[in-house]
Amino acid sequence: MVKAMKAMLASFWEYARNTAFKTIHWDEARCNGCLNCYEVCPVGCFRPNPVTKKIFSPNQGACVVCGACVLQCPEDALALAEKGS
Amino acid sequence: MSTVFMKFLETRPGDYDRGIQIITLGRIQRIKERIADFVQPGDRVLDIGCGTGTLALRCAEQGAEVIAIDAAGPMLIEAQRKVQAAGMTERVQLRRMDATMIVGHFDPASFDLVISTLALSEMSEEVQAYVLAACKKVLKPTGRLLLADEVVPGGLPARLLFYLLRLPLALITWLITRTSTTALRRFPQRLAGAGFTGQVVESHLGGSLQLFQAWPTGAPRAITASEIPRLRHRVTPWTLLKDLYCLLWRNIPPYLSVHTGLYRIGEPDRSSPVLVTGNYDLTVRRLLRPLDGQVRAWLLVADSAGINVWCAAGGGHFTAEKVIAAVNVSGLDALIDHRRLILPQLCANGVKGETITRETGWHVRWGPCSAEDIPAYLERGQRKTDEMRQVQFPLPARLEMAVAIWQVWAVLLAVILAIVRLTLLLPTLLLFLGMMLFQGAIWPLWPTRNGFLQGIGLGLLSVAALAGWSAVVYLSPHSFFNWSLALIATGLFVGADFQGAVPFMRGGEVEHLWKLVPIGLLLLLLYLVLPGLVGW
Repeated sequence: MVKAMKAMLASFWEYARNTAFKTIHWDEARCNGCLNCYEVCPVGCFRPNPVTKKIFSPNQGACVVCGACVLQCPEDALALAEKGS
Repeated sequence: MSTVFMKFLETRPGDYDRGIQIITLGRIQRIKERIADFVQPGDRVLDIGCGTGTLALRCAEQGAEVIAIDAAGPMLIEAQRKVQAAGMTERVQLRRMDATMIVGHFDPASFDLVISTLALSEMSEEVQAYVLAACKKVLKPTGRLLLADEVVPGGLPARLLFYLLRLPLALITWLITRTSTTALRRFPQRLAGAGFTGQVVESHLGGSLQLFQAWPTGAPRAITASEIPRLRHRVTPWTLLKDLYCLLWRNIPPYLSVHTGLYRIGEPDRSSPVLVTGNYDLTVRRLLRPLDGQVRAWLLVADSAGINVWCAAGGGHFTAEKVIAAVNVSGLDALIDHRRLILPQLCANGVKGETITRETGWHVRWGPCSAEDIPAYLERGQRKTDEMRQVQFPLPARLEMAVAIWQVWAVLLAVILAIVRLTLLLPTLLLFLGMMLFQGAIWPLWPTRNGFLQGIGLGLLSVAALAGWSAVVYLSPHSFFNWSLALIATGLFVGADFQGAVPFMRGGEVEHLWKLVPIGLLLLLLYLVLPGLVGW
C-alpha cells in the first residue's frame, strides 16, 4: 500500500512537472503534412500552412499538455519538452 | 480536478498485481502454480492477458515456449523487465495485443496450451464468446485451454456471501489500485457454446475463484447474428435519475455503463458512417440526444471502463486496443462497405489511430469535440470547422463541472467534519458548493486564466460580500474574521481546482498545490493565534 501511494505520488509529480514546465515542440523537417495534430488538438495549437501544406509553428501558449498530437503524429515530429528549450 | 482524476485513474503494473492479490486473497498464486504443472517441456503456450508476466515465466521455467500477450503497454514493460531479469528472453515472447486479435496474428492449430488468468472477467459476454472461439482456432486439436477467473458461485447462499464479501474487497482494491473486475456467469455453458468440453480443476473462496480445464470437441455454436439494437434518445424518470446520479456521483465508482457493442442510430445502411465512443452511460445518452432522428449511423460502443472518453483515454482505460476489440467482435467488416471510423476527438490523447488502422484496416477520422456538432460534421462531408475542433466551455458545462468537482471534496470534507465538528458539515458543504457554482458562472469574466489568481479574486470578492452583509446583519469582529479566513481559503481552493476541469486549461491543480498548502496553513495559524493576540 505504501508502494502504491508512492507510485501515485510519483505520477502526480511527473504530471505537475509536465503541466508546469513543458509544452509542445515540433520538428518541421519531420512533418509530413498529415495534419493529424491539427485534427486532434482541442485548443487550436496548430494551423496548416496553405503553401507548404505543413503545420505552422504551434501556438505553444495554448497547449494544455494533453499529449494527443504527440500520440497521433506518425513521424514523431512532435514532443513535449521544457518550455523555451 | 478532472485532470487529477485522470491521473488518479491511471493504473500502474505493480498496482495490478497487488489488486489481484487483494481481491483473490492471495489464492491466485496457488492457481498459477497449478497451471504451470500442466505444462510439458517443449509445449507452445499462449498466455492471454499476461499482465506482469509471472505465469508466463513459470511456464517457461517448465520448459515451454511462451507467447504472452497483453493489451496494456505498461504491464508489458514490467513483464519485459521480469523476463530479462530471469534470463528467459529466449523462451518468453511478449506482444502488445488485445485478446480479440489473436486469430490475425497466430497460425491456426499452433498452440498446445492456451492459458489465461483473470482476463475473461474483464470482457463483456460477446467478447468472451469471440475470444473463446478464437482460442479454439489457434489451439491444436489435441491442445488444452486453462482458464482461471472469478466466478459468481451457484446457489443463493453462496452467491449472497460472495456479494457481501466482494463489495468491500472490490472497493478497497479499487481505491488502492484502480483495478476492478466482473465475475463470470454461467461459464461452463459459455465454454460449451464455443465448442469446448470443460471441467473445474480447482475451486477457491467458496467457488468464486475457479480454474477451468477445457478441450476442443464439437464445432462452436454459430454465433447467431442477432438483430442489432437501435438506440433512441428518451427522457424518462429513469434517465433523469441516472442524470442526477451522474451529476452527483461522477468520480467514484460504480460508474453507469452501457453494454459494449454495435448499435443503430436510425436506420443505417451499408454506407452509413460508423461513430465510435466509450461506454459511459452519460456519454452515450448525450451522444444520442442530437443524433437520434437527425442522422442514420452505426454506433460502436467500445469499453472505456464506464468513464468519459477524455479521462478514460488520459488514464489508459480507453486505448486503440479497446477500439480494435470492439471492431473485431462487432462483425462490422461484413455489415459495412466503407472502412472509416469516426472517433471522438477528445479520446485522441490515448487512442492511437494508426494502431487501429494497422490492425483492422479501418481508417480513423477524428470527429468534433462536442456531440452536438456531429450532425453538422456529417453534413459537411465529415469535415470539421475550427469551432468544432476546439473545446468550448459554455455555462451549463461549467456549472455541471462545478458540481462534479465539488462532489469529490464534499465526500472527503463530510467524512472529516462528521468526525471533527458535525454542526459545521452542512454550512461548509453549501458554502463550498455555492462558491464552486459562482466560479463556474463568472469564469469567462476573469481577466486571467490562472486558477490560483482567480482563487485570490474569489476570496477577496467573497470577503467584500461578507462586509456588505455585515452592514445589514451585525457580525462580531471575531466571527467576521473567522468567516473571512474560511472564505479566502475556500476561494483559493476553488479557483485553483477549477482550472483542470476541462481540456481547455492546463491542469494547474498540482502546480498550485505548493502555494495552497502554505497559505492554508498560514490562514489556520491566523485563525488560532490572532483572536488571542487582539483579545477577542
